[in-house]
Amino acid sequence: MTEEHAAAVQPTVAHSGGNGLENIYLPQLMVIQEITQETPDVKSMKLVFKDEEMQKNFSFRTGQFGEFTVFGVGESTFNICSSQTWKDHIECCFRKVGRVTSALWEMNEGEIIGFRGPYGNWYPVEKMEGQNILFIAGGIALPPVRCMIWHALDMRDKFKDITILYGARTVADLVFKRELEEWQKRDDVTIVTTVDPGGETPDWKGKIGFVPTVLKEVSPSSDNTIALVCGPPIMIKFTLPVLLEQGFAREDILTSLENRMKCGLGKCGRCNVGKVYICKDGPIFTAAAVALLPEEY
Amino acid sequence: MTGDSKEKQNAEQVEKTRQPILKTLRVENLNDLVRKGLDLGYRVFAPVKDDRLVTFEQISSPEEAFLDGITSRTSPKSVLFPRTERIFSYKIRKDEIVVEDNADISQPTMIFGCRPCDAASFPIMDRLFQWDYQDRFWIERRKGMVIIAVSCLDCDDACFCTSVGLAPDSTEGSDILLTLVSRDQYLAEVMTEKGEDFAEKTGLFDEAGADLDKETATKAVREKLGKKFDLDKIKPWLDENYEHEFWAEVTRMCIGCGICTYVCPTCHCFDLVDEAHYDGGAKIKNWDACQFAAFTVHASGHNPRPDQISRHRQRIMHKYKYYPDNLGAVLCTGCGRCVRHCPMEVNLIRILKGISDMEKAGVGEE
Repeated sequence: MTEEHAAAVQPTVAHSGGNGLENIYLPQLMVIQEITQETPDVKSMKLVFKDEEMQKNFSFRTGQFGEFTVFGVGESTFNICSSQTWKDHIECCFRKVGRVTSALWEMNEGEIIGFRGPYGNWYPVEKMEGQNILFIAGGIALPPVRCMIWHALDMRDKFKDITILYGARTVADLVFKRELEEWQKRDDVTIVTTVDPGGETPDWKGKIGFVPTVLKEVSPSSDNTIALVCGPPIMIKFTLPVLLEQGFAREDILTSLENRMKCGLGKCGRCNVGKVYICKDGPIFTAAAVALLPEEY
Repeated sequence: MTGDSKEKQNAEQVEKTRQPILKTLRVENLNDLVRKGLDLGYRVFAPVKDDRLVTFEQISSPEEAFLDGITSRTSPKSVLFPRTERIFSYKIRKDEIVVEDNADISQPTMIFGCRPCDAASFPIMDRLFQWDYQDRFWIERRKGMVIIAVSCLDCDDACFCTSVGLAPDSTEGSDILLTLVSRDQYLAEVMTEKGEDFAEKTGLFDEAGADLDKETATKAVREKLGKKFDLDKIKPWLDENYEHEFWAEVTRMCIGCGICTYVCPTCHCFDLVDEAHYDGGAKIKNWDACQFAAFTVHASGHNPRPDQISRHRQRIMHKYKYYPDNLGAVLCTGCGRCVRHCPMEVNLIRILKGISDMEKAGVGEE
């Protein structure tokens, strides 16, 4: 990651606060355009700004996140799981697990939510161009990888071999199934899907095994390759050694950290890990940068 | 919406200090000073004694202010950063949500009678609220605020301002610092343009003669305070000892009540919650604390700081290492409130003394 990239700070959504400075905590209104139920407890949503002008002027970088408000309930932090190459909407993906996500789960197409962002840093795309990319994701952590997968596929010429390894506990827990199938059909992508032992169905054609095990089996080359890994802490913990064994340098392994956040602006203190604020300095870190942090993620 | 970087914004400081202008204020005019502030339309906040507690409250007459205590129980941070505050509200209509950014934050405000440690907390916190993203709630209130602090002539065992580079008569953060230099006279150090402007408007200050000196007045308390640990030794030890048995030892008694963060003039962590009514609601910013388990727990249930040891270490690391690393100042003014009010007698002075002793011993061995 270049220093410039690491130090980059995004401007806030522009609001006129009336008297002087803008109110950095104020959300913009977005309309839920389309909802897809991905698994029994995961949904993804296509969102557009209510204000057309705002939609036209909005831009973000792949890998950034936002604060999403269900009015009257609260705010949650999600990665923007669409690519910066898509201009007409953004997407988010969430598991129904807490108060806000349960309320969001109940919402319908056409309803309005709040959005603040984009916040945080982004994938170092310039560094990734001209390289092979190895995407590794586990379970609900596909969304923060998927945005970069689409980014790479939309600018396919700029990247060399693209390999995707995606695992979930069960077949039912795989998210973005239509896209997995779409990627499977492409001849310019290698995709391996796997489910944990016992999570398979009779007609499951993918692999059976945990992500680190399958990674060892697939044994992708580390030559001129950047690995992008997102998943539950336990998966990361066991995947990292396999990548290092494979010859990947820590500088060439990227991940998106998922600490609890509230403000997204480096103020509220929640995502402070060591001297780093995940919301401001991250969420994207190299494994080398993560190794310097206290283990509080 | 994306575009230019905002690095330049850190350049602007709310506070502009310069060589102090020395004036005097007669003790008998102190009440008039507050009254003038009220007459000029300032909201005035001062320590107020209610039964046994001294807290920082808005006052409507000078007689309410209580200046005899060492420090008030609560700090004046709540004037800029209220315990709970509506940061915008919204109406939910049939097919539409109307967001109203209606916070009223620009009233002129006077903080009267706080101690130098509390005055010093404001420029330290300015750094955070101006860090890349500008928090208007803090910054705009701060611009309209004049701070008139009063030097300490006494201290207690919990005070340790002199150990963090401050003093019972330090001027950091004050627009005007008053030091009682004789029975009937305060020396007034006018530190800022804001202070000068205010002093002029009141017409209560006189030019000071060259014979006035606050050093004599505060000498006794300064000696009583002494130095309780060596600040220079703290960060080097923290840099190296995230993992150390010392943490478990010194935080064992901590029950995670969070009072240290509540009374602290520089603890600033907060939560954002929605409060809903039948046809609308509001976004509320509430104080929060790194001492609570729920502060960091992930949606999955995983908690990166799962025990009180790691949470207490976070508070000390944040104040004495992370904040200096990021923003160039120790996030502590030595007011001693956390020491004074901890129900379990977890003592920050003892912890920092332990750290500075270990660092000294370590260096000696090399």
